[in-house]
Amino acid sequence: MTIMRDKPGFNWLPVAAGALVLAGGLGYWWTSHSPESEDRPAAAAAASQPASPVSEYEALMNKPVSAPASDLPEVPPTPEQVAEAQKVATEQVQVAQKLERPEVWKPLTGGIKDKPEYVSPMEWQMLKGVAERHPDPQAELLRLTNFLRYNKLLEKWQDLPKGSDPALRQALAEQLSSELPARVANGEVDAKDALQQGTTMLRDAYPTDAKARKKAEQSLAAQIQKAAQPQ
Amino acid sequence: MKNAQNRLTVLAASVAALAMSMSMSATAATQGPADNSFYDAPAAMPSGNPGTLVSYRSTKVNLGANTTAHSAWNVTYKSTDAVDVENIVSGTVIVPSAAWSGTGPRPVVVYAVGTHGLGNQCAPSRQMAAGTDYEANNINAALAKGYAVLVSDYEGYLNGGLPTYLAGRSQAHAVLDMVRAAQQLNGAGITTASKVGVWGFSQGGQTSAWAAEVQKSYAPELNIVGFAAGGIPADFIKAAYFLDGSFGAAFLASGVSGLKTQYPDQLPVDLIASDSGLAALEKLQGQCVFEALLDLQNKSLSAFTKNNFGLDQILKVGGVKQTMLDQNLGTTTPAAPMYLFHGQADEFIDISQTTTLKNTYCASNKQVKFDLYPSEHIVTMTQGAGPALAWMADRFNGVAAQGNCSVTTVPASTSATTKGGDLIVNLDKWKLDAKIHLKTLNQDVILPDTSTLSVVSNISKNSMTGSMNVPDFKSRVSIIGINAQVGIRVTPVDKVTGQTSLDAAGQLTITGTAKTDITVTTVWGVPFGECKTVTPVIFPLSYKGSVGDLGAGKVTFTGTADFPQIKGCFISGIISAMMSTKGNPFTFTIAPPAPKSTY
Repeated sequence: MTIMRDKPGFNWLPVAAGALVLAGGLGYWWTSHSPESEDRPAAAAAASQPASPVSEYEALMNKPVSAPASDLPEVPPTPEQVAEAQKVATEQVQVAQKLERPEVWKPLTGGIKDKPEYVSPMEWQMLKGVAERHPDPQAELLRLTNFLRYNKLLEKWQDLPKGSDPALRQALAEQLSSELPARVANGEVDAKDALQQGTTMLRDAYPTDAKARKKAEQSLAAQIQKAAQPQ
Repeated sequence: MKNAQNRLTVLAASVAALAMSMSMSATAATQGPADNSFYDAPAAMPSGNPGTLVSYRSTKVNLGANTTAHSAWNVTYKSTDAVDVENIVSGTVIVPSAAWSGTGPRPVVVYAVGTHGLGNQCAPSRQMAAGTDYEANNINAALAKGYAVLVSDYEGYLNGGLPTYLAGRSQAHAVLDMVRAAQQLNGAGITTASKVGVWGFSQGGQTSAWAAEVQKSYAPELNIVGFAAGGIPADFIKAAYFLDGSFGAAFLASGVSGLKTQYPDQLPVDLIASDSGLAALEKLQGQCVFEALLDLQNKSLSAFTKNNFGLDQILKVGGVKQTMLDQNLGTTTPAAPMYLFHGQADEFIDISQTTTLKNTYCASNKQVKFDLYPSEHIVTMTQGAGPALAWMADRFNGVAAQGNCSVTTVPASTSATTKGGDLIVNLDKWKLDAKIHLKTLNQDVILPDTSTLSVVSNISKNSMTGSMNVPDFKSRVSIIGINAQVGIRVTPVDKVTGQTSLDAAGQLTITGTAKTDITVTTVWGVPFGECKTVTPVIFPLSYKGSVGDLGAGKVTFTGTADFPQIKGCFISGIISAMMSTKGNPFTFTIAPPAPKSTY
């Protein structure tokens, strides 16, 4: 995995805001120009009569796992879907701000009962829904939640404008690099990619002290190598 | 008057069949030994007419995974060579275990094999027992239809024997007499009433076409309803020039051996060949086909002759030219409807051989159909199974055969490797049937039916390069936990690269990689930006199996792919958490494009 640095200063928050506008615009255009969507009745029903989340998830989970995944026709989103997208985009913006506080950067341990503040309601439903299918739902929920947090921090670090906020850059890089062995052990990141990514992170974590950086690189490489061994 | 004539004809045929049957039963067939001595030639020629069953034994054949349940016997039987001298030929009778569910008695397919090599160990009956026959897919395809399958080894595969390879009449007699012999085999359920179809490719195509030409005179009592023949060497001199110095040079050298064995006085090989040529011939006579092909690739006959005589000079020696002309097809009207087929990129037998033969046959028999296949020789051999068996099923069911004689075009050969070059197999726009499993989400992404893989494999140089083509599509993935479906796009990037090799046992090995970007395009149908893998997903391609699997659509790459981080949209964090993981299983299966009846 390589670090994307081709868009300095890129941040998904403005994109999310743009998406809101885009979603609204598209929704208006489609609803006023397009035939009825085949997905519309279900979505409309879901919107008019809020289903019990439990029954909704059960229904989804009882669907065939290998559901036919074929070419989708160009089906426009329904107004309800557009509204849902707008809501999600707003929530994503809100929870992203929670990650400004380094106190929440650390991996969670033990069991998770409540939604962490940096996880949106939509994300939380997804995490719980997917974890439920796992033989060890609690452990899977913990792993997925930590991986979600890691991915959000990773993007945050990757999207920092060049030269801006060295302290934040350093703190994020330290946190992310310290998690790489766990990510490898969990099968979330390939060891080779982790080594490559870790080297880049450590440049930010040790911007001036080359000797310390070298030592950290060696230590990280050893940890990643160990994490990559079959258990 | 006409009815009376028909009745007389039927009566005469019945009397002939009865006489043949009585004559053939003059010598009781014996149960042969279980060991290799089954293939020992008898001390004296048994009495009886051609087709007399001499010996038999129960055997087991291994046609690979999903072999249809069956009973099988090895047999030896009397036949005659190309100059009507009696001989003993070995073969295999295979009958599905399941009862025949169609009308009438169980039909019989005589599968005329292609080149197996001159060594005794290469005989189809021995290769099938060992599970190494490269035509196993075709034989199994006929069995799967419920047909009894007869596979003659042709003349020359008894212990110490030498095949009369490419002597057309000898091969035709061997397959026709095998039907007679199988009718005498207790327990096989093959009778004189059984409808028979003959099908073969390459040497087997030549055999099938020869059988079509001689059946009326040699075995008129047989109830043969159709002949399917593909990749036919119909004009020997043209075939010889095409093969000389090419990757398929071993076929030409084997032909020299086979015709010399059949016509020793006409082909004075000992006079023409150099010492090294004679040594090469002796070595070839102990080899199987793929070993021989690799050994003699791109060799010219002139490298093995005294004074480096080439084909031009050799054809002027003694009866060489006439002997070769005598093997040409197209001199007699086929005895029954014919299905002919050929690969447009055939690197061993130029496509004009079969198309010219088709036009010749069409002059006297309009029930000739020709299909143009897109690929090279071996691919076409196995790809032909489906259409040939479907055509044969119509003949067994009494459907009137429709020809396409009005199409007289001779399509140009394409992308075939000729003289002195590498063996290049061009898989042009092969259908790609692909499924990618998203491990964490436990759902499949299936690529559109119109996805293709185009690959140029240089087998001589052990290299492969090509591309995947996946039309723009969106696959629907239900996200568990929320009431949403996500649109996913798979976009090939870079070239498909790798290695392809063929070993002396006909095993094809492919290793390589294909790369794609995975993009999440929509949620709830709402586009929200390019949420894409930050680096391409690499699919490792690995396959090892019979070269015969290629045309049968049995080449499947299975493995796992690691999905990297996904970025570029406002829900990329959760998308990454759900999709970015190691070990997502995938299955890619490739199959050649369909043949064409108009061209």
